[in-house]
Amino acid sequence: MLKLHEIQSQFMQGLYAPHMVNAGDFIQARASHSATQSLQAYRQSLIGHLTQALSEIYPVCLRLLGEIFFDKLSLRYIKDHPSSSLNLHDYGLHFADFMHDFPPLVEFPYLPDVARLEWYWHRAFHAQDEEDLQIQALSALKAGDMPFLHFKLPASAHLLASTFPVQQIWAANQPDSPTHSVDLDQGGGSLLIWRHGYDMRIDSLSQEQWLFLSAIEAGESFSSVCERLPQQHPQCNPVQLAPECVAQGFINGFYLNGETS
Amino acid sequence: MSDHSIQGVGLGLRSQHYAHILEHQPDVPWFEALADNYLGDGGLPLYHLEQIRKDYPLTFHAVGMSLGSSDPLDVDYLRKLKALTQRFESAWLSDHLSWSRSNGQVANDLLPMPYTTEAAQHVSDRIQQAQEVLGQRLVIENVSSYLSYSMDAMTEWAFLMEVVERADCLILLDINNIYVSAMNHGFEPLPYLEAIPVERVVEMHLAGYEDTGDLLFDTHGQAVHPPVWALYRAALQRFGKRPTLIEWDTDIPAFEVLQHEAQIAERHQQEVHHAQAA
Ligand SMILES: [Fe+2]
Repeated sequence: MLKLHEIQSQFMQGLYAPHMVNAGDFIQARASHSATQSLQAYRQSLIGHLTQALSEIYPVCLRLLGEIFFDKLSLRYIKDHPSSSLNLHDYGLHFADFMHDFPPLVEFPYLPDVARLEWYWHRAFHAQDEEDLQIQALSALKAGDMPFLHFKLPASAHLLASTFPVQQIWAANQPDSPTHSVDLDQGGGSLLIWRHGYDMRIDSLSQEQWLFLSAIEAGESFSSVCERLPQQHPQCNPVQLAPECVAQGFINGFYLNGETS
Repeated sequence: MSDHSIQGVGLGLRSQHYAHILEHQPDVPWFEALADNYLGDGGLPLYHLEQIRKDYPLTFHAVGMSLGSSDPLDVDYLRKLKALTQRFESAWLSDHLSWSRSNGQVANDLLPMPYTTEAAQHVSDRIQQAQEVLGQRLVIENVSSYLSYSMDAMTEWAFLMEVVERADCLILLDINNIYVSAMNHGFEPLPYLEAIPVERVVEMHLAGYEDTGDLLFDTHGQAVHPPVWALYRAALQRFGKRPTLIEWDTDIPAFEVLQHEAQIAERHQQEVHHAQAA
């Protein structure tokens, strides 16, 4: 007789890779349903839940692709990426990369970046609540602290650089936005997707802000950024960029750390 | 755990109704929130729940404990749930007599248990472990099922009884799920009710199933069906007035539709109560 662990292993395999198991080994056949059909009912239900989760996180991709294509795409994604978290809000992390590698989508090269924007939006929506940084707090720092000063981005913040106008595509495909076409040739840009209080934000960044915030996000110390950035990009002035980003809320904290540079 | 703040017919809290609830403060005795929607670190869902909690008592309903799995318990998930129940001072926390994870893969669904002694022992041990981490007694709900296992050795209600007695936990009796499983598996629903010990039932659920022709599905997307109302009356006769919840999860209608369902449930409660008193 099959033990619990064995039954569950086979059942789970039967949900994600139905051809790999013989459902009759552990499921009773009934007058109206074979064992395989019974398992199939659960598989359909699971696919329904996961597709629903993806459509809630990626509504713009859904609108761009249409329901039929989106459902087929989801089905392929589910096959390659079984859920591994008990919380459905975690499902869909690799959807953008999957779209990038999905041959039928090569005509739509901007879609993976649209999906990235939607994933970052989803994460920002549920991220930790934080206060703004008051610039006066920095006046408490002593001269000796400066080499160890690191800034930090909001916990909700994600940087996204794209060669496509993803923000415009996203904005044109909101439920209440009138349908109009977006000129793909206008090129892309750099975005910060984050939450300010309960306000969801997509901010377009200047090239200097992008370089500066990318360094901060990578954990580089302020003194190192001040030395390195102007050498590589003479137009960048971190001493000016820092208060500007604090005022915008793009930077909302700092810490002292001698280990990372 | 009979928390007296939870009485009458409550409603399942859904984000579509936040604005309506906060604006109109409808007369609802309590809300049941889906715990898994509030496990993020912050943001609007938690803010809205906080606002609603100021005016209403709350219970939490979870779907992710996977109590019946042979995989290890997700202690991190349980700790998050514990923090949530403490922060919002929920009257109780429920999850299902089911499993969702195996070998690290997850089916975000409520999969049925095989009804064996081995499985009953396993899941009751796990409920006890979960209760220790959570620091509270759990309320366990019966699920709908669409298949039976070859190795089933007892009825669903005998299994439920063995689990709750061993784990010494409480029961959330989903009347719709009993009816759905009874129809799908061809058993009589009344002996199921008769087998459940009255004192363990702290809550009942009502919802609408979907009839696909050869199976009933627990989709929570319709009004409660007449045979489920009839079974609810039988349950009221056996268990007395118990906190009862209207669940609606797909094709979520206007708030008034949920309130209308709650009024029907209240009417059944009063009628059964008066018939018994007479
Ligand atoms: Fe239920």
